[in-house]
Amino acid sequence: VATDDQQVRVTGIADAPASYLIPGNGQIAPKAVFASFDGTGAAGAFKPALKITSDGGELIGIYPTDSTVAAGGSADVSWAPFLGRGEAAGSSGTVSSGYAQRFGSFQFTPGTHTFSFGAGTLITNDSSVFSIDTVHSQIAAAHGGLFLTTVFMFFSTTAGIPFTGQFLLTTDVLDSGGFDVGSLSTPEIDYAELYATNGGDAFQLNGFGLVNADDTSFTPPYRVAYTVETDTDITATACSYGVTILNPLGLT
Amino acid sequence: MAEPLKAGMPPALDLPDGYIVTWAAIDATTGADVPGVVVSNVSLFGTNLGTGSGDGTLLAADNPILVGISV
Repeated sequence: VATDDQQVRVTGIADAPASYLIPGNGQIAPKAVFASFDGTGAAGAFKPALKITSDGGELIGIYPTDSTVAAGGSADVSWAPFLGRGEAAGSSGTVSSGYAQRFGSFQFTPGTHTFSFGAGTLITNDSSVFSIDTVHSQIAAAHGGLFLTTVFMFFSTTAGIPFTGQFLLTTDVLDSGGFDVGSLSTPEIDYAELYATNGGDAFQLNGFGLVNADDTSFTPPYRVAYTVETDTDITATACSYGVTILNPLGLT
Repeated sequence: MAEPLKAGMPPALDLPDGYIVTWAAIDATTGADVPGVVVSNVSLFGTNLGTGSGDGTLLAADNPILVGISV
């Protein structure tokens, strides 16, 4: 199979930090980087790290391992895209997730209403990623990253009140740090929307959102807002609404 | 026995002519270099971006030099 891929084997042994200058005939878009770190004589515990410096001498990034190597220890280290914290969590069968739900009767007047969640409504397996922003009563995600979210709502309308028009569920990403998210990055939000009409007493709506909050990690944390929009007065009785949110690849 | 570790890096990280890749051993708290660690068996696998705008000097891609930086 023809391919433009190549492996550059950098020969030699050197004390860390050791560097390799990209030659004119060796420009590469790396998919995987490997190195062995012998810490037999290390002065202390360390994290192997990859550093990229531009041809102008400006540091572009530092990419350390999550784990620390003890003094005297050695490590064979692989770097590749998406081998971050989230991937490590996934390897143990755990993806950071959050779930929040509320019950009750709610009055929706024409307009847009944002779901709110109290401090005790969130169930999460990783409180370092998901929390309830008690100021805004919304789910907050620490830092940026890829978030998958679903939202659902079940309810019955009060007898005698017709339900016409559209009822729309969406997700949105809001910042809580005083910055305009849109000015820093362009959140990519896709959502499915279902419209309900007065076809019966019970309605079921659901939506799906794919939120790429911020790949620059510039303004943590983010609040994820789930909104309902209606153009009629609705009294939703026996109502239950809730959300699930996943962070499958870790925070950026 | 070497411990297998992994770490992330950007998915679209082009390394053109003149860029420097450095393998470092850093302190987890301060980020300072930890002396006494030796690096070997280095390899990069990826898409060849072709000849760049360098001086045209051809270097053996399979035999570049790993240069230690003094600390």
